[in-house]
Amino acid sequence: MRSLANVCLSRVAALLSLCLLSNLTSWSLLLKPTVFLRYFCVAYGAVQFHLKVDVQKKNNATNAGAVSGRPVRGWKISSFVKGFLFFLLSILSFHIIAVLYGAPLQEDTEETFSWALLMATLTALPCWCMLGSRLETWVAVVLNRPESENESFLQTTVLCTVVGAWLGAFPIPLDWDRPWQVWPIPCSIGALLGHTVGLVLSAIQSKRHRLDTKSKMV
Amino acid sequence: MGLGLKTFGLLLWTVALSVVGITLFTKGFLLNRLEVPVKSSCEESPIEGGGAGEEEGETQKKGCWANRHFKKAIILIVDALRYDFATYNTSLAPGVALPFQNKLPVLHELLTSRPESAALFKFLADPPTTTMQRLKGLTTGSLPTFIDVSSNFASSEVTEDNVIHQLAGGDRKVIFMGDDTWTGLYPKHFHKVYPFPSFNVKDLHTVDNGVMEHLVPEMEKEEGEWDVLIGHFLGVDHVGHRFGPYHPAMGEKLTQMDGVIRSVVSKLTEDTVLFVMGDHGMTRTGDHGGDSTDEVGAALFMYSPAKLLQGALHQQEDQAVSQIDFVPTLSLLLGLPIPFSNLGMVIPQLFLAFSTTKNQTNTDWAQNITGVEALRINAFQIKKYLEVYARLGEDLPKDVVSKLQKQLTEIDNAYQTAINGEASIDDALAALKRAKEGYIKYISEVKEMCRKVWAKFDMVSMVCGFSVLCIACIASVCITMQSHDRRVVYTGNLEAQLSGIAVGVGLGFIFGIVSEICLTGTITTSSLAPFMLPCLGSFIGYMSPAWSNKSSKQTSKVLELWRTLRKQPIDWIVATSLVGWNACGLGANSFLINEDTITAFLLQSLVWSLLVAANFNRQSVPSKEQTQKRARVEKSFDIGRYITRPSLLLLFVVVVFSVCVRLSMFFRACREEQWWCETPHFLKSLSTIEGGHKNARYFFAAACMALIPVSLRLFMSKSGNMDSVTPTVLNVKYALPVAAVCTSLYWAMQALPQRVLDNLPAWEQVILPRVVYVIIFSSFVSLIWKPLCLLLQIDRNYYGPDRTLQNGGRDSRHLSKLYNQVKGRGTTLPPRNGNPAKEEWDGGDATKRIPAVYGLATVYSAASLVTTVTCSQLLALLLGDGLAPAVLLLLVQMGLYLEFHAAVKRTQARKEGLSQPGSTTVLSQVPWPVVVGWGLMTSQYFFYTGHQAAIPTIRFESAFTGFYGDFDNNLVPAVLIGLNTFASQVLFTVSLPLLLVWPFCRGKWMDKKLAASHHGNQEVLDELQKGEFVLHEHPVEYRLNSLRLYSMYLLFNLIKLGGTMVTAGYLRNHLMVWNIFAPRYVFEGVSFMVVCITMLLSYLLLLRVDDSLAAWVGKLRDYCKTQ
Repeated sequence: MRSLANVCLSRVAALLSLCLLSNLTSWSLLLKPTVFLRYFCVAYGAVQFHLKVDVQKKNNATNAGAVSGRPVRGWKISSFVKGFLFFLLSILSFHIIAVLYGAPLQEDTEETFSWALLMATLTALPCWCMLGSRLETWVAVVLNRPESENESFLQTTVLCTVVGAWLGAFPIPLDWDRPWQVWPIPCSIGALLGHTVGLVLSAIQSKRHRLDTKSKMV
Repeated sequence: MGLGLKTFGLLLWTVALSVVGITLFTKGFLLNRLEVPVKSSCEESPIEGGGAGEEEGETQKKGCWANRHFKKAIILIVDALRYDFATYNTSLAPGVALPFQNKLPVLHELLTSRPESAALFKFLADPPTTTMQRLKGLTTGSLPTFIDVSSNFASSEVTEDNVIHQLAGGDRKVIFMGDDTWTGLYPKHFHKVYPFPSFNVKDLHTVDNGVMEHLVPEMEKEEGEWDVLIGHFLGVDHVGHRFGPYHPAMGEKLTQMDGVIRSVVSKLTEDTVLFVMGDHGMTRTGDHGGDSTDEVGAALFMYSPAKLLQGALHQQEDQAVSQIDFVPTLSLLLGLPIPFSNLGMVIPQLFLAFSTTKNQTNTDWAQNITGVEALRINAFQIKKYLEVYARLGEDLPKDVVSKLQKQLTEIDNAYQTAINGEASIDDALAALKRAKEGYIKYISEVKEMCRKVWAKFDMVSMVCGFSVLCIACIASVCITMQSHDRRVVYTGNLEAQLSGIAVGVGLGFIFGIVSEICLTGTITTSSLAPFMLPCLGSFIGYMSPAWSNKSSKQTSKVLELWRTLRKQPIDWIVATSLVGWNACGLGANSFLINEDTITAFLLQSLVWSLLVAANFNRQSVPSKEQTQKRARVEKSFDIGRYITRPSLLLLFVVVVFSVCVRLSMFFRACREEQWWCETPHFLKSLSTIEGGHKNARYFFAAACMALIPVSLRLFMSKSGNMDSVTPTVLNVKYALPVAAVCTSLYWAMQALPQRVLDNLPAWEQVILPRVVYVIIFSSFVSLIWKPLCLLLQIDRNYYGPDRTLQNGGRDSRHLSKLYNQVKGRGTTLPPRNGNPAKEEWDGGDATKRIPAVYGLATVYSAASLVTTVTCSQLLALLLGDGLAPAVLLLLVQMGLYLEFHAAVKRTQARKEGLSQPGSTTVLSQVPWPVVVGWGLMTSQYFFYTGHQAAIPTIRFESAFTGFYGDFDNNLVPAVLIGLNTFASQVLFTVSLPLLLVWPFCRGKWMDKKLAASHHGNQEVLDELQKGEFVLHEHPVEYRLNSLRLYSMYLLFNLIKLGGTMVTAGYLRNHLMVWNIFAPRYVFEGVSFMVVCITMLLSYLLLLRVDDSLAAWVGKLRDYCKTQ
């Protein structure tokens, strides 16, 4: 079984290498944000499904367990479809939230949608692949005090991503006339940075936690 | 002195502190330039040995400082004549041209047919581009300062030396006709005046027709009747304000102007020069005031049948001259002394032209020598002004001044040697050319220096003002903190604080005056000590009881504060950081330009974080049985239960709220800097909209307008406040709907075509809004007179059984409520007439007539709601039909926010407390993040009722709702325009008490769901049933909580104001200070004042409601006892 810290760090590595690779091609974030975001989400989604730790396996006394009441076992087709539907729902909600926060309603729909896709990939997808396909569990894990290390990992990354995307909005109105000041680039950069920070933070936390428990055992 | 008045005193003190702060800062920030009282005289030429016109045989051409070129002048000012209105584009077909293009062909004809007699310049005005400022610039030749803008509608006489004064002094007869701003500026200089009212923007023709009627007849009068004719047309400006430049009316107006110019040109004699100019331009939307290229770029056209120019002008390039250049040019052309404080430069093209060809001749020399001489006079006049100014004021940098003066001396020496020397004609011409360049350079450098320096600031006063504001901030933080604890009332702290403040103010004032007299010997308005010391003194007086009492406890208090701060949930942190961001973000001009969107963004962030905080679970997992129960419930998947879960309901409310915020963004006005922005459909006046859209928009607005009073009525009758027959209830029932109808009819009338509307008699145009004003006024009066909407029903059979049945549910509820209340009080009351009250009420006699009261549970919120809706009716009328949906949206958003707050508050209270009786007053404690949200909504709707923090977006036309345009004083238009601009501030401040009382009666939709999991004390739940009457039973908590709420709201506004102050003060030399930062500060300052005034009034109203409720309860108790 992979340790959480390793998962975090390898995700960071994957994320950074994806971003760097894109700079070599013609569809980097600055040049073609929508294309970049689409490819990135597919690639990073695959990475997330590959590199994961299962929250459910450890114990039942977690928020996830408490809400669902039963552990989710295995991958069934129906549960996959349900999870996928929730994922789509989260994309849609991020799109709506972006519009509510002031993104243009009729123009730039593709840009807004790509951003929503990115946000869903960075927040809802980890929940899906680690918690199984129950929306309530996702919400419960994000909003409640974390009960296990893995839950705290999910919470940290999700919150950091959202805060990063939020902070990313602030450079947009500045009059520096840079090409990257166009919606959705700053918010995407913010989300990516926030996500990375969240991953690194939970890696550190997990290492420290390990050390603590080890020293206690000694 | 009751507790209410004491708390009011504290509030008043904080407000007074901040007002002093604003005054001091403003005094330092918006300073005026020194006005030099010296006037130029004809005899004293600035050049030594000067005094021109001594050339023999030219007596009729004799002028003061130089020979005059013309005897008479006609100056036609076409207000807001932009440069591109005057140009002619031959490549445009008549059908293609925009309404303002190619409408003045006469200028083009003259320019092409007589190139030596006509000239067209781009005429660059100095900001602020308001008419009065520009007129001052056009006559005195001086640079403007910001403060003058405020006196735009209260023009006062110009005391500085100016062209008009020189004309009158030189016995020239000046005849004026047109805009009556002139007669205010120059009340006794004109030979003859035909003034016409200028303020009525809706009136497109009165001024113009008046001028046209008198212009040509006056011109044709015989020799000697006039020397200078000034005509000021306002039509173009008014068309711009009303319809914008792209409206066909602009084309008609300009064509009319074309006719006027034609008729004047045809009558022009050889010795007359004609000027046609705009005093400023206009933006795409037809407004002006700022410094964008469109506003600054006016047109100047000159023509004379005689030769005007020394060389042909290259019309292809847009040649630009500064607006103040007109002053010396006119003076020298007419042979007058240049006004003393002029900084403009004679337009060189009119006086000299160095031929480009090789064969320079003596005539060339002769022509140019007078031109260079004119420049020289001009330069020396400026030199003299600088010398005098430097002696009077100390603000000009000495080294720069002396350097410039030396530079001038050098140029002049070179020039003198060139003309007196024996050099060849070519060399002399080259020297002449150099001298010309030198003079021009000198004049422009002086102008630049002055422009820089006259944005001068009194730093001491500014810093003092800011520190007083900081004291006010600290004071409101202290008041907020201390009113958390009810002990403050019982230990007599409040009295001590108030007396401390009073003593502090008194002592500070005396010390201030004494020290000022000792130090400087006099008291002037600019002395700071009498302002500063009372503020400091009162603050020390306020703090002293706390320090003297238990000084040891204070340090622990600070620690306590820190601990409570650390314990705060995320929404608290988010709210505070948002406030900080809101204040700091004022420092960047791009954030200020986009402040509307950013405010909405911050508000959304706050509300969503409030939602997250409400659902964020700090406790650990729910217990096992609960989990299992929930799991069981969820196995049987019930969609209804799923959807109505509390958190989903909250989410739903927040989403709808967010949608409201997003929708409100369609009502924003565009700043000039927002080049990408399009003026929304809703902000155009109804008469400019064509076709079916007009009807659709009108009926939409009318429907919105109708919904407001109707929903108030429904709301109040549902909670039982509409059953009585008091003036207030009658008002809500009948008067407010009538007001809404009148408003809608008024809007319908406004949609009539202009001509029809203008032909209506004046009273018909104003009657409808005046009816609304009367209704609103009577509504307020009745609210103050009888603020309670209660129905007392002593006899249950009074209304008959069916009526009781109809009101069944609430009947019994309210009945028990009052019964309980009176019973509870009865035990503590002293027995009267030997009968203990207790016995009276505890008799348990079922047959006894028990009083039933309708609407007691919502007694406070009813009064507040009526106030809010009445205000919203008035403001909707002033805002106009396009913004009626915005007002409705504002109220809906406010309601949703209140519901959200109430639901969260009730949930929290249920979860955390409510164990002992009396703890229900917790509900009236409004947390800081909620107040921040309220404040953000205030700024959000400032922007989304079609305003921006920029002078061109002030909607001056609102001054004409209910008035015809001829005002005796400036108070009425100022109040109306102020109410229009700060509508959102007024509405949100007035409805502030709703935050306090809403959780008692509303937000119950969360209760049922919660009741299952959280069982409260039965007694407490009963108390909760009493609704807002709980507040009356706990007056101390009620007062303290309302004081806390008000001072938190004040604090929010103070922080924002402080932010604008810091940025305006710190960036005082920034390029955009007069364009962005200073107007932002002025808007925030005025908005703060509006908030303060409304706040104090609404606090007084709150006290009034409570007083009359107390009186009512007392009366009832007496009545019951006599039974």
